[in-house]
Amino acid sequence: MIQEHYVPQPNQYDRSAWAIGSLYQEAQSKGGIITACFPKRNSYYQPPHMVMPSNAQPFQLINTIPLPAANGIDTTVLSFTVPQGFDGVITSITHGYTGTGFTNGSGNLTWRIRVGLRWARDLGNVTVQLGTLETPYQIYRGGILLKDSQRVLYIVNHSTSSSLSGGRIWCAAFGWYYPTA
Amino acid sequence: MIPDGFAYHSNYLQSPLDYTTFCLGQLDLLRRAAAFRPYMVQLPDDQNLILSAYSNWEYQIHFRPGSWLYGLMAMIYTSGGALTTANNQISVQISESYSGLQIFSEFVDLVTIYARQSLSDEPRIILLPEPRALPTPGDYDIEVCNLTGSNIQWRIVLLCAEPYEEVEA
Repeated sequence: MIQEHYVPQPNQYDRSAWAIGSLYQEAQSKGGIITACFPKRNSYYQPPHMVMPSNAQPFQLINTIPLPAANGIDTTVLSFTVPQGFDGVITSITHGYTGTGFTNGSGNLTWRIRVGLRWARDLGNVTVQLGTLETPYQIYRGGILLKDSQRVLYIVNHSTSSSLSGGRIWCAAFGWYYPTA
Repeated sequence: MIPDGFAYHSNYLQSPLDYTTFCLGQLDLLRRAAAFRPYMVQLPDDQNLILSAYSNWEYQIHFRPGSWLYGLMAMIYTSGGALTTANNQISVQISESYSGLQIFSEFVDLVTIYARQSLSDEPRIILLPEPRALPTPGDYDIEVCNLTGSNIQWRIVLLCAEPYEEVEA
């Protein structure tokens, strides 16, 4: 109750804190402190992760591996690193199994996409095949955003309870890199 | 040096040239200011929230504009409620909603903020190298990711200095 009626008297340190805070506020109003640090950074008329800019570099990364042992350990199928000085976006993906006997959702095979130290949103535990190499699966909400120098891993996990044998796993990611905004 | 809860930590031997001492030096402005009060934000706000295996959790928090963030605390629990200090379980990123400016350059292992060598250590506050102003609109995005194949619980406490609403800057 005392605190509700207590009105502190600002001192010189408060005024210093307000002064520094107002500098941050001013930087914010001019586009954030990133703009202040990098005044000549790239600017795009449209979001570069939604509309591919003219200076973007498209990528189509595809890889396959033989079906890994049924040991429940994550196995990397496809990995790549975003080039330095670029951000990027994965707009579509596809993954699947070429052998027979796999049922979607059975949990025998699980695919994951790891971006840096996190799973791509909603793609950390996918138990179904997505897309085909001819018609990849389009990612909604603008795709998976990638940052400068980020490591991307496309992983498959073969469950210990699986009886699958033979065949290959494919994973592919499509999108573009663009100079960091 | 202001003698307070930071300076008198039972696990901390004060040295004039170590990281914490310099952090406290940077904090002096806020520690001496009269029109700011401590404000601690705990995440997740639902303490029973369990982060399921291989999943992400996103949340937005609002600070009063003009606040300052000066420290962090974190803890990780197994789904059974036991504290754990294992690596590579939870990763976290905190970024400003308006500008996208991030506190960490990349997602960080929550154990890094945890800063406990063993469960018998006292929980520690990780002080930022200097307090960080939280300008208007004061919204921050928190993204947390469970890297493991089991359910897990976690806590993050953000320690802020918030201006009194009665005092006009």
